[in-house]
Amino acid sequence: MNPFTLKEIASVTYKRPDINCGYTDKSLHINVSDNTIAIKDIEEKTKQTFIGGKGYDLWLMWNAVTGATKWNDPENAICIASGPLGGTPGYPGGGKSIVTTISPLTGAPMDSNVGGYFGPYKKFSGFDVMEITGKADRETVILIDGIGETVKIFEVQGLTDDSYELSMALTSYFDRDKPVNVSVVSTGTAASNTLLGCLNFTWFDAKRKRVRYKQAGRGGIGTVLADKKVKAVVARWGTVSFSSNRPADPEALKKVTKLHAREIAALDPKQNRMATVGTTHLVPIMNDHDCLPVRNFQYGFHQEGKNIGEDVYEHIFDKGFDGCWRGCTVACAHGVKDFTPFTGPYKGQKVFVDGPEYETIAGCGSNLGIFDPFFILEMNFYCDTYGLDTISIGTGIAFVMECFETGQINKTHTGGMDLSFGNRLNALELLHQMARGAGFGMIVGQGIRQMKTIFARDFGADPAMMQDIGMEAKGLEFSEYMTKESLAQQGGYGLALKGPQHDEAWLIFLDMIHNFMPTFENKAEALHWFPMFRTWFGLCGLCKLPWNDIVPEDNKATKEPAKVIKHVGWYADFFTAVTGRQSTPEDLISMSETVYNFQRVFNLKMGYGTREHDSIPYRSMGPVTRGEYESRNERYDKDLVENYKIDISSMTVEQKIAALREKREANYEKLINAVYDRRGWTENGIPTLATVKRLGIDFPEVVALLAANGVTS
Amino acid sequence: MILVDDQKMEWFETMTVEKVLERMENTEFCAAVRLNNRIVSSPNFSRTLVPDRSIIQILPLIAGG
Repeated sequence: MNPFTLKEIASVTYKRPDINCGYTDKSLHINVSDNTIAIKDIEEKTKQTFIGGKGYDLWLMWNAVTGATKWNDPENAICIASGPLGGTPGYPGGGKSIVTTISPLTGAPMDSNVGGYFGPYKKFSGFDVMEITGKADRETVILIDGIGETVKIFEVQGLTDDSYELSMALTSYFDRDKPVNVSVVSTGTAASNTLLGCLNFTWFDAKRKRVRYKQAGRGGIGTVLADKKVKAVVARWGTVSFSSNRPADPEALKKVTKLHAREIAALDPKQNRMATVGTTHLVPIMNDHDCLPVRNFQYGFHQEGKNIGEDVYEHIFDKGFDGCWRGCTVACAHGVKDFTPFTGPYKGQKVFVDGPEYETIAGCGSNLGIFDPFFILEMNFYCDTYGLDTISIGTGIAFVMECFETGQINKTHTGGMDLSFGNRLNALELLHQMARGAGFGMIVGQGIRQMKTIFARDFGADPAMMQDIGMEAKGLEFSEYMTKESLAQQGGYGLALKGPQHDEAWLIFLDMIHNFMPTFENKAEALHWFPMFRTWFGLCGLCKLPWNDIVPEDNKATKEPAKVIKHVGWYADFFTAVTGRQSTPEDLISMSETVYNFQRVFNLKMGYGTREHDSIPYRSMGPVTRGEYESRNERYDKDLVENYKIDISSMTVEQKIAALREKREANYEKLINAVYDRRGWTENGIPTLATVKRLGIDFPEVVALLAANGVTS
Repeated sequence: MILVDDQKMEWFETMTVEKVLERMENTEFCAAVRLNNRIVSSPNFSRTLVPDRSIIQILPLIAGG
């Protein structure tokens, strides 16, 4: 580790506000262009309308940017918030941060929900939300020191770009005696060279004596941080207790915390065993149900899928407590110690890998046609070290590999690299090129949407073919689930506000396996309720896993087991106990609906947010190629004959592909109509004036924006 | 005898996971079980034999990542 120097260039001393009912009612604004630091009050109306977390982030961003703002303009903001419930020790999943910015991939608001201690530490230091704007002319570190009651901006020299070393160095620098008091947000070298940069959020693992990571991965937020020349944001805070949030009803909070924590501790070992295997249990289940993406989402199953699931990783994960928040009984943030990479700057050295989770396994493994658990570890490690999103990397390289295998691109374009499916060394080399800022990896690092343009323009690739197989929507790469047989999940991805991430709605099994929502109206109802409830976690600073990955023993006997209503009731109690705002489960949905619609309007402000931007590639709906069709011939033939009453006796495979496509694309449009109607949106996907009025977001700028888009009622 | 979610169930020679679930209530949303600590998914229920003295845990509705 090279020595580094921090030179203070701005500082503000403040009196830390008392937290009341989960809120500080203060926001922190840092502009790194002119090194100003401002602390502002948060109005009561803002609190009532936007609740906290993502709601606060979006409100600050709305006021920071114009419709013409691009991701690399100084006024683009990175906002980070916890939420009123965030920082409750012992409540499972109770320590999340939500980050937003205008994305370099989508041009619209991006949001990412991430573990680690930063969000709670920042709140306990005095700020419900922070906003970073401007662009520094030199490398900068921001410190929020709640113990010292100061906010500082430093010019930094000599600090490594390596994310792990950087985080450890700053943790030691700012609290050598109590490193657990420090949480660092940073990115890595590749964030500057690509549009796929992630943020690494740390917590100090006292037992292993090292910093641990969770990622705000999606949408290139790390790229924005790097563009601002902000090397790291550090929060320092001390003791966290049950009273840190000064809850309105401490006894009620203790009661509901104990109920949920104990249930998870008792039932997780009997259910998904996330405290032991994380989310790796999903790999074999997805594979068996034809939902594990294989070779750029062509197929959903591979016979080697069992080699990269829980059976293997359970034995590789380092044993010990792996909660990304204090006292979380889900404790799913596992890692691997003493892993030895076989490529790159860490070749031959022993390193710690935080992960992998399901998404990384599927994206960087099966989707690349690679079923080697150690290769996946190496991809995971270098993505984190270089500051890259493993989902966009996996889906993006899978697209490149299919383009290579189908002759859309060749070795003259890739710098001589064979990028066939299964090529481990060259997949890793792409990452190293992104970190070095050289080679074909620089093109891959622009994301699929840009690659489609570059491949067509410069390499003569077929735009129509790439449109079909390039798994992006709104500019964001798909996360790692096969949706061909689940129309509801096609909607879950296509209608997701930020792009195709599964955090809004995960309906594949309810729809495809259990046929729980046979009509368009059933699907539309699910695509209303689930996104609304899932949004609520991001408003409050929580993780969604404790809601429905470990469920009460009697849940299966309830009317709608997918909603896990008992837990929804506990969350309403949790919210009431902390904030003092009496809340029912229905109230939680209303809170989310307000922010959800506001984000949709925000997309409109940025030039998106209409029907054309909710389209998805045909690969996500059905078979693009003859090989895909023939691999599930029986399924597709049956669909044509039984569901669509088509006589296929004299049809070629190509004719059957075309006929199926026509039907499935029409179904997607019908689904969109039903969802828009359920959500109170126009046929063009814009919230109506009546909807924004009902939700209390009919601000003059919103009304004017709707009117400018022809929406006046 | 086998144990299914901590409840005893009489074992028989041709017992499959599918037959175990048929004897249970509210299992229509069951897409996977743990049979002696190994995941068995629904496409394999009918062909997976359950040995005597097995321990089965019915996994909750799969909820995604």
